[in-house]
Amino acid sequence: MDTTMTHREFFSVAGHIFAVRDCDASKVWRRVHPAYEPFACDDAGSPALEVDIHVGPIDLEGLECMIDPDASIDGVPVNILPHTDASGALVIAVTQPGLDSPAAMVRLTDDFVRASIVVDERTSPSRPAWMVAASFTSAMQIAYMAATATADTLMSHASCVAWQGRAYLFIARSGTGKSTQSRMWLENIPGTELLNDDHPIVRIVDGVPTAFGSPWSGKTPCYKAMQAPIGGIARIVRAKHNRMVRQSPIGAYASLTASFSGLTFVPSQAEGRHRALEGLVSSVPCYELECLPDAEAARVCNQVISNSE
Amino acid sequence: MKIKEGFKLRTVMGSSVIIAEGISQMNFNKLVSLNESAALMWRKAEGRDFNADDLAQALMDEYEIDADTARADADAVLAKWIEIGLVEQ
Repeated sequence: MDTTMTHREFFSVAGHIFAVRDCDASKVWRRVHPAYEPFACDDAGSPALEVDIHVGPIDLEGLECMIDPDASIDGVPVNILPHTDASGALVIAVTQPGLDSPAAMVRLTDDFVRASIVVDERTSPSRPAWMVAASFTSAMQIAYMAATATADTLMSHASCVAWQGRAYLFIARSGTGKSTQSRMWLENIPGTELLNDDHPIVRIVDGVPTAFGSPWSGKTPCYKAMQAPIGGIARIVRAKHNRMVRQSPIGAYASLTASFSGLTFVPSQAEGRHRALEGLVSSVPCYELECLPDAEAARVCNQVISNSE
Repeated sequence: MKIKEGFKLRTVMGSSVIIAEGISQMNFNKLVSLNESAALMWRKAEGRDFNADDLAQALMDEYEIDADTARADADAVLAKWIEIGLVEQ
C-alpha cells in the first residue's frame, strides 16, 4: 500500500486540531502547504476534524443544488454552492468568479467531523492554478468552520492586527479597506503586528473572545500561530472624514453577521454561530469607523478603540 | 399567511431580533428588531398559517387591551412584516 494513503498530518488552528490525509499526492495541497506549516502539531488521537483530499473531476451528477446555481448576493455571483446527495449528506461545490465549473467540492458528514475534499487540478489559461488553489482553500475553510461552529468558534472575514497584547479586527465589504486599515496601523502605530489579513479565527476561550492566526490570509502570506484577546472590532465605511462611532449591541450583532460566515441553513450550525456572536458583542466594543484611507484614520481608530475598555 | 422559510427569532442581549438564516433568504442582509409585543405576535405566527385576528388575539391574551386596539396594532405590525418581506400570503 502506498504510504501516502495512510500518512496523516496534524494542524492546530485556534486550539482545534485537524488531520489531513493527502490521498492522491495533490499538487494543490503541496502548493498551499507552506500556509499550514506554522500550525503543524503532533499526532492527536481524536482530532476535531479529519480531512481527506482527493484529486479528480468534480462530479455533481445526482446531487441536488440547494440554491439557484446562478444566484448572486448584491450582484456578486455565489461561489459556494451547497448540494445534498441522495442520502441527504451536504456536498458543497466551490467555484471562483470566471471559472466555468467548480474546481473543488467538499462532502461533510452529519456531525461535521469528517470532510472529503475533491479538487480538480486541471489548469488552463482560463483556469489558472491560483484559482484552483483558492477553491481548494475555500473547501478547507468550510470543513474547518463546520467542524468548529458548535465550539464557540467563528470564521471571520476580517483583517486583524495585534497591538499591546490585544487584537483588533477590521471588517468591511470586500474592497472597502480592511487591509488598508491594518497597513495604516502598521505604518503609523508603533508596536503593531499583523495577525492575519483575511480570515482570523475568533474563539471564545473561557469567556474571553480571542483572535487566532490561521492558514487562511487572502493574498497576504501571514500565517501565524499566535493569539490575542480581542480589544475591539471596527467596521470600515468609506467617508470623506475620520470618525469612530460605537455600535449598539444589536447594531454590532447585525454588523458582525455579515462578516462571520456560517452554514446557517443547518440549525445546529446557526445555533453555534449565534451563541458565539452574542458572546462576542456582549464583551467586545464594536464600532463603525467612517474613514479615509489615511494615517489619521488609523490614529483616530487606535485612540478610540484603546480607550474603550 | 405564514412566515417565510429561513427567518428566525433570536434574542441578542435581551432584545428580540429576526435574522435570516435559511438558504432561501441569503439575500436578506437586514436584521429586524422587534419590540416585546411584536415578538409575542411572531411567536404566535411561527410555524403555522395565521392572520391578523390571530395576532390580535395573542395581544389580548397577554395585555389588557380592547379588541380594536389589538387589531390596529396587529394590522400595523403585519403590514410592516409584509413590506419587509418576512411573510407571504
